[in-house]
Amino acid sequence: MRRLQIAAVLISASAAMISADQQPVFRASVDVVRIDVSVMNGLNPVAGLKAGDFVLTDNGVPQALDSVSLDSVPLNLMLVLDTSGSLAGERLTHLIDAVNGLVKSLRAEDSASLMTFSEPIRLALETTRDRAPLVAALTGLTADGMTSVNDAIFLALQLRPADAGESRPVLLLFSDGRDTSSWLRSDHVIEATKRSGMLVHVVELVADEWMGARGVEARPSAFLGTLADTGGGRRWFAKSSRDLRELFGKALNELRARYLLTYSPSGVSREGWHDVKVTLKNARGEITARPGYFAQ
Amino acid sequence: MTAKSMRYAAAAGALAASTAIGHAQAVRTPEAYRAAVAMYVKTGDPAVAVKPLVGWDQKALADAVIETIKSGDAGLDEAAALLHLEIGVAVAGISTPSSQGYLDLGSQLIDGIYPANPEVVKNLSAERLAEIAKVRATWHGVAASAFLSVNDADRARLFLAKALKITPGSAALLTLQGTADEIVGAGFNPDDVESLMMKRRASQQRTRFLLSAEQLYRRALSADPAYALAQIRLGRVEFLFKNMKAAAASLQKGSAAAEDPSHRYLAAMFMGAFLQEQRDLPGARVQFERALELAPRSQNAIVALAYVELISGRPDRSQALARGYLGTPNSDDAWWAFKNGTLDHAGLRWLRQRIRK
Repeated sequence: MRRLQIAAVLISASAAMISADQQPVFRASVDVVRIDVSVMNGLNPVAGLKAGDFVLTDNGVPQALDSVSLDSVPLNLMLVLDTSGSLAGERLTHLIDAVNGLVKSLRAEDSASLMTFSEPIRLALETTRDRAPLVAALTGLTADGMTSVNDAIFLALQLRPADAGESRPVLLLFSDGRDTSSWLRSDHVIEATKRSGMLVHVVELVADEWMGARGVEARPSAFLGTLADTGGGRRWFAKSSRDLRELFGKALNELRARYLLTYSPSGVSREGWHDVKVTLKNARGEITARPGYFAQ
Repeated sequence: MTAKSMRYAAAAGALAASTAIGHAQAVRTPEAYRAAVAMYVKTGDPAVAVKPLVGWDQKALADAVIETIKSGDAGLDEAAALLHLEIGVAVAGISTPSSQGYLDLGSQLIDGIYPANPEVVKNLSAERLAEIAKVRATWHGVAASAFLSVNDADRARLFLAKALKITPGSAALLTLQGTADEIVGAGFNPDDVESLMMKRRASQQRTRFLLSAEQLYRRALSADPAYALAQIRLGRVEFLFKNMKAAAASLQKGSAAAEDPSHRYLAAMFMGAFLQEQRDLPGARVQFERALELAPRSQNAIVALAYVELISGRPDRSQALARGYLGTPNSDDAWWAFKNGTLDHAGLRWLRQRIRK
């Protein structure tokens, strides 16, 4: 069945001139919606699409696309990694190796930050284009404690750059387990995801060796699936931590193959939730994107 | 092992390390055992006292415990039981079976302070009998809390059952029992599973344990209507059952009765959650801000407040809170004490003071 979901980002692009005494003397605002879209034909991304190949409606009203770009926009990647007790040992080693592989594949213009969570949530590294501190932060990771995945996602979403400029903010979450210690419920996180406009990708470790030892059948988290859908991204499953390197690579390739559709909404009310639908008219492919955006 | 249990283990490092099995040189006689207990009474330092017991297997310890109980010296029994409690608490974060081994023997010792001979019991004053009951119940309550603090609710229940048999009307013990039920119930989360059948099963199990917790908190409040923690926990359970009116009443009573800052913090957090659910976002904000005043580095209070700001249409405030928080260590002890239970430090202190005297 064709899966059709739409991702959108509402950007308040503000121009400001600041005088010498830091008093704002000019401010103007233009609303631009950016929709991060994946178009796949089976396992392969569909390349070469133009604006005319897409049909986009905002609350049912067709919109004129200002631009369509593929691949050229730098990534602003927030890595959110589960370092709870179940990751201790070989799993953590594989995770670090996988993320190191991803970091090496980033382009010079891409930036990344690192957040880790068990019970406490820690911003291990602010956004940087420098790879050395990122690798160092990964090397120092340890695993213990419970899992505050809900609160970690929420805080990561709040760290989305106010003005991402020309970059694409992406949250890439890795987790192997259920939430055991967050304040927020999963529906709160989904609400926050709707409001964030951030693209959310999930790599989930659903490994039998750990769950099975506790008499629990390993199953994917229903919440993480909804999260990826709401965030307009994808979810990849790993049956073993040995597969993580390959999956992180796939996630990055998928990010590179996405289209960024941009438009200025017309004919729709400004505030509240906007349902966005994207279809193809001159091409075939499965579209994955955020189902809408929240404007306030 | 949780981070919390790791912290316990670290705190009790020397003591825990001293209990390692396999020391070939240990002299395993009841006299050596009693000497270790005497050392504990003299120094008050379990890490020093336990050294002669290093390498003792369970049978050697059990034999010494039986000999100690046979001596009929209630003071010796109590001191030995406390030494076992100290060791059990220290190793709970490393190995709960090992901890239980020490505590099972300690339980026999502390029960030994109640005379086996009915004729002796008849001659004891009511005050002495009450004192014995309080010591035994407190000892078992501390043992239970040690297991709760490392998320082992099943072992905690074993010791709680013994404690409640001694003092069935203890508000603190009934609340601890309710906490154990809540912890077990929280393990069943319908949101975590995809199939409808599993969702239903998880929901039923969760409800069962929460209902049990609710009843225990009510019993605790019957015994002591001013017991703030039971009131606050009851309010939270009512909230989870969506009995909003009852939840509000309990949380307000709990908040008014709470003297301990950690209880006031919990009352503010849960009242905030309640108001948020009622769509009273300004009211929720006030409560979460109050919680933050009580625990300025509380991750949960920051997250709760930031979320309310977000859904109130103030994303800038939400982002500022998140940015201000991340990168600094949190201090959510009150929350973890609620969520996982915590060691009954007050009970342990009281038992230690008795031995010093």
